[in-house]
Amino acid sequence: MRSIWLISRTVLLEAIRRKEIYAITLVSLLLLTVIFSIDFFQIEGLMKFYREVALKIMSMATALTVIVLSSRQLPREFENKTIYPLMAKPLRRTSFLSGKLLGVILAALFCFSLFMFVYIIGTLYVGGGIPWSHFLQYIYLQLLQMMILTTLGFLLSLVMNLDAAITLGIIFYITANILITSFTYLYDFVGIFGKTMLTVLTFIIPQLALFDFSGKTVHSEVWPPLDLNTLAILTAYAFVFSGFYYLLCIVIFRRRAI
Amino acid sequence: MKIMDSKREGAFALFLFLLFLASPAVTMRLNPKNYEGGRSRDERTRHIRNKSAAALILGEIRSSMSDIMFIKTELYLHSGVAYKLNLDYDALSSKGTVVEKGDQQDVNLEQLLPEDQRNHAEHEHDHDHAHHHADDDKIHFHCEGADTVIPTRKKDFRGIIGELHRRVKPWQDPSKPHLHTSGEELLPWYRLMTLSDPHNIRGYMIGAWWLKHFKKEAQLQEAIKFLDEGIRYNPDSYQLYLMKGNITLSLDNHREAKALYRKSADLAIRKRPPDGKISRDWTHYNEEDALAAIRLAVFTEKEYGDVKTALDIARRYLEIINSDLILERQIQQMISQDQ
Repeated sequence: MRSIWLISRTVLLEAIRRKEIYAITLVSLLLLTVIFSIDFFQIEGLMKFYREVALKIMSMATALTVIVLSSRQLPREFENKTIYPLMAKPLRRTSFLSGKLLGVILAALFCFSLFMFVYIIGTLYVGGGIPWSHFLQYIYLQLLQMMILTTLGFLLSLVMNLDAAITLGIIFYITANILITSFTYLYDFVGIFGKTMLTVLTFIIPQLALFDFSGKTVHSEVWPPLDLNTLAILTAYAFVFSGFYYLLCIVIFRRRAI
Repeated sequence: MKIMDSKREGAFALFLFLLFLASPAVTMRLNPKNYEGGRSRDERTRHIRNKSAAALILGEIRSSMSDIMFIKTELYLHSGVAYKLNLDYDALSSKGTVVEKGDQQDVNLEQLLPEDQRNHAEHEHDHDHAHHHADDDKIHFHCEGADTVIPTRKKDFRGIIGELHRRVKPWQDPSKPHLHTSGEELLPWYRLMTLSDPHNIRGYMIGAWWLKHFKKEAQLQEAIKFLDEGIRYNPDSYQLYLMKGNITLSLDNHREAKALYRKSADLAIRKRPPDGKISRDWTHYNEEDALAAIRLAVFTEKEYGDVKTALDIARRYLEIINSDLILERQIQQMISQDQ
């Protein structure tokens, strides 16, 4: 357990020290500042627009950070040969990967906290309220999504080169919403084979759109927060996919000659 | 090992490339096929876009962005629930409010006129739909029967995934009355929409319509500024002059409103097909707005200007549009008043 914590701490510290996370954060913060400073027809309290833009930027920036960070973890260890002294120690490969996973999730949390700070300040500046229960559920579901993206990033970086892993990870994240909508739409237009394929794909591809709670958070005055049962199912869903990718990583990692 | 890796990567890249090449096949059986980019387009807009240098570089992206924002406004109106597009955009730009296909709105432009004139200026609308929107409601229900993008449990093949999708996203059974929220929160999108595509006349129209809803001097002035910008980019749009006339009238600036209605009517007549025949390029709402502009030009001239001039222009307009019961009635009324 201690070794996992030590590795995750190293990943987190490295992420904090490196410039990428700040570059992404800074660009996003600039965007947020511009958005919050626009005066729309001298109307006060237009919260939905600000909330939506802030949540989207927050989510995208964190996802990009996580994809880049997770995809880089393993190739860099091999490239710099830092994996060898680590593996020479009594450290299990599962602990090594778990430490990396925890480290990236903590980095995502760090990223979120930076944005949350700006979001809260911005909301207070605009003069609106924060729907806390919705907002916290939104963050929680985003973290589950980041967990899937992290394990997927590890897996992709183990089976292809770094650039391809990052590119595919980003494409997968960006097209997540299109995928889920297009599957339901296409279903009515395809034959039996197509229907079977779409059903299989729906279940084997993690539907990241399920972790995007921004819609209800933006319109929180109309929709109640999610019930615990739904949150539990979503948590299990995220763990199933992350667990599967994690296991695949372990299998591939074990087969790698070190 | 390295050779194996590069082979595997090459095969994967080839697979992705083949998948990309095969992607058009996905759309072969889709319906409807005739996607038309650019909801904001009309003949003139297309012409301008094709001519401008900026359009050559950014035109399609700009208009697409603008359309995406238009769709966003529909989402906001339905509290985030995504319906398969069902809004009548012509109606939206004409009335500035939510009118769905098959639904007719009873808030007409003549409501701006003094009480005694309203009955004369009525549109010949089909008041056949039971569910209209109260102007001042913050949230109200509306029943249309449009399908949601996320299907109902009955129609969904995805089982638990579909169930989670319905729970996480704003969704409600399409058979139940739709939840409509106030349009004020939409205003930032109309602002961005018109910044993205300044030829999106509907964006200016609806934005101004919602601003008028505030019934406050500051927002009415903002609406005028907004419409002025729209007119600068779309000098031939009679609807923008008509809307500006409405707002100017709300500010009790009768003389300017009168001039704006005249300008709108003159532009409308120039655009209107000789017989006013409804077509793809001249819709039912174009015709209604044109008639509204003509009638309002006459009414405001009569009310705030000179009756004789009003009679002259009414006759001139009637000669051009051939027949209009309301205008004919007005002419008779003015003649009898004169006598």
